[in-house]
This record gives sequence, C-alpha cells and structure tokens, in this order.
Amino acid sequence: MHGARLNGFALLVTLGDRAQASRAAGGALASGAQQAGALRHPERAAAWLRREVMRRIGPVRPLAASDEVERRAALGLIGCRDAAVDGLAALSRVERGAYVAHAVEGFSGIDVEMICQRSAAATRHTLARARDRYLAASMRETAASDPADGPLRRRVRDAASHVMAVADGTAGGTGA
Amino acid sequence: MNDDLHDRCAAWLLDGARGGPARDVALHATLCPSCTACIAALDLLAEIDVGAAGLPAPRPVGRPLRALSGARVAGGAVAVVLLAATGGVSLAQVLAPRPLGAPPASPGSRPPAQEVLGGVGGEAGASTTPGNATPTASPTATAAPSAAVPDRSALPPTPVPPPRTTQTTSPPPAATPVTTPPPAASVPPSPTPSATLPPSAEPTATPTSSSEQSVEPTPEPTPEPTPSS
Repeated sequence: MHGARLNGFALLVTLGDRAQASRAAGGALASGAQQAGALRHPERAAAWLRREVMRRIGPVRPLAASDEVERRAALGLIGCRDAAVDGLAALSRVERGAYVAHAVEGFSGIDVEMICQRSAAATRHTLARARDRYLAASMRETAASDPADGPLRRRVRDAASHVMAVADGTAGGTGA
Repeated sequence: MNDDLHDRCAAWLLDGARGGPARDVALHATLCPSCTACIAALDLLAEIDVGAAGLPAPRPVGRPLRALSGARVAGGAVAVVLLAATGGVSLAQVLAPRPLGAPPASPGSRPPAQEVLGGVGGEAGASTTPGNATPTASPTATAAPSAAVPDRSALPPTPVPPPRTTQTTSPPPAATPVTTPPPAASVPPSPTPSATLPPSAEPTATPTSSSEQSVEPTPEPTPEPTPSS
C-alpha cells in the first residue's frame, strides 16, 4: 500500500513518466528498507520516503507530443484528469512535489519542508506560488469544460442552497 | 461588493477551504464562473488517488550489476577498437598486393613491397613467376632493375618458357624470395656462387635468365640457370 502511494506520488511529480517514477519510488523504498533501523521519527517516515523520491527524480521532461498521450493515460489511471495534468505541468519539479504532497496527499507544512528540503518560509512561499500557478493553468481547462462535481463544489453548493432555503423559509423544514 | 465577495472566496479557497464558506461567499461562488472554475480545479486534485498507482518495479539489489554492464560496455568498445585496428591493418595488406600485380603495366613506379625486395624485386616482377631467380639475381641486383623493365616489354623471346618451368617447380613459397635475398648475400662466399659469379661478370645477362637474355641476345642462359637453381 505504501509502495503504491509512493509510486503514485512519483508518477505525479514526473508527470506520468512511469519508468522514472518507478525507479525513484523503488529506490526510495529500497533505501528506506536499508535504513529502517536508523529511523528516529516513524511519523516522518512517509515524508522521508517522499524526500528520497524527490532526490531520485531528475529533471522532468515536459509533456511532449511523442509521449504525451501515454503519460496522460498513466496519470489518468490514478484519477488525474487532463486539466489537473496541465496545472501540474505548469509547476517546477519542486513546486509540484510540494503541492502534490500538500494538496493531494494532505501532508502538513513540516512534512512538506522535509520533502522539499527547504525552510518553513521558503516552503510556504513555494506552496503559495505553486497553488497560484496550478490554478491559473488548470482553470483555463476547467472553464472551457464541464467543471467536475467534486467534494469542494458540493460543499459550496450545499451551503448556497441552505442560504436559499433560509431565504425561502424552507430551510431544514422547520419553518412551519 | 462583488469584488469583495470574489476576493473572500479566493481567500477561503487558498486557505485550504477549511470549514464551510460564508453564506454570501457560497452564493457568490455558485454564480461566479471564475470562482466555479477555481473550485473545480481544486476538486480535480481531490479526485486523484495516488494509491491507485501500482507498486514500483522491484529494484535489483546489487549495484555490481551496473558495474558489470559498464565493464561489458567497456569491453565491447575495446573489441570494436581492436577490430577496427586489425581491419585497417588487414586492409592495408590487402591493398598492398595490388601494386604487385600492377607492375607489368607501369614498370617505372614500383610499389614499396617490390623495392623492399630490392634487386630481387626487379627480377621477380620481370619474370612472371618471381621467386627462385633470386639467388642468381641478387648479385646483379644493382644493374638489373633498370634493365629488367625494358626486358619485360621485350619478353617475346623464346627463352622465357624454360625459366618458368624451372622456376615454377621451385616456387614452393612465394615468400621465399624475401627470405632468400639474405642467403643470396651470403651465397657469394658459399660454394656454388664461385661458379656463378664469374659468368655474371662476363656477360651481365647470363644470371638473370629471361631479362638479361633479352638485353644481350647471346643466350647462354640455359647452362647458367640450371646450375644456379
């Protein structure tokens, strides 16, 4: 399970380059197995492994015509739609790693610092910049297509319909 | 007002969309295309399931493997270089004999191989089948080359065939001519030369059967070559 998640993380950072992702994730797992005895903070193990993945991922090839379809398909297998791919492709490698760890995997700030090997301030800056760039690139796609009905959108819609219901006096059916 | 709602919506989203949105912000977000797109873009990330990726390929434990492959590559490169070198050498050897066959056409220009054969070369090239004439030729080497060339053009004379027969019998090694010259030099002191040398002094032609016969018509050759060879 952990190996698969690690591989998924690597796949996102490499923009669907299966070979490179597999090498990086496999290497990180092997390194983790070798150094398991020296692990002092098990709660940081997941972040440490992702740091190892990041260290093993070299320059990521941009999506090119030659293999773009294949790489998008690889990312599609883990639920990464084209708009998200475009948004992630707009980031640098480090930004992508930080943003995926934070926004997709839900790592805390201190873990992202370890993954990126940057200070707290630099990590915050990296995350903010990554989010802006991701949104700018991804929104172009989502605005043109039918927006996904995800959890965030459902929450907003539910909140808005509640407001409407209150305004109509039908909220919660307790108006009577 | 609208801009304020827009900014508040963006701030809520960028803050991680923790908790529920404010009512007015929620209403704005459902109607604002920009905010809707922003929400949808963030929702795309929620759809990603990193655990759905398969396990990475098992990683080979040893690095020696990598080193081995490196050694293989190096070995292959060395082999290629050696092949190229030997190929070049053999090619040069293959190309060298060509001029040897050519001399008949261009007598003036001798390939280095023939010049290495020195005086012998002149004769060997002149007498269609080189070889055995060398012993007798070596003494006259200095004079022979120049004379040998024209002789070939004047080959027609009958004496040519007899030497062939005698020579072809002896040719065992075509390379012998190369080795023989030294003996030729050592021959003079040895027994038979004493007999052969005098004749070479009298008529320069006698020793080299075909070529010198053509120069000096007086053909005594038959007696000479036989003893020498």
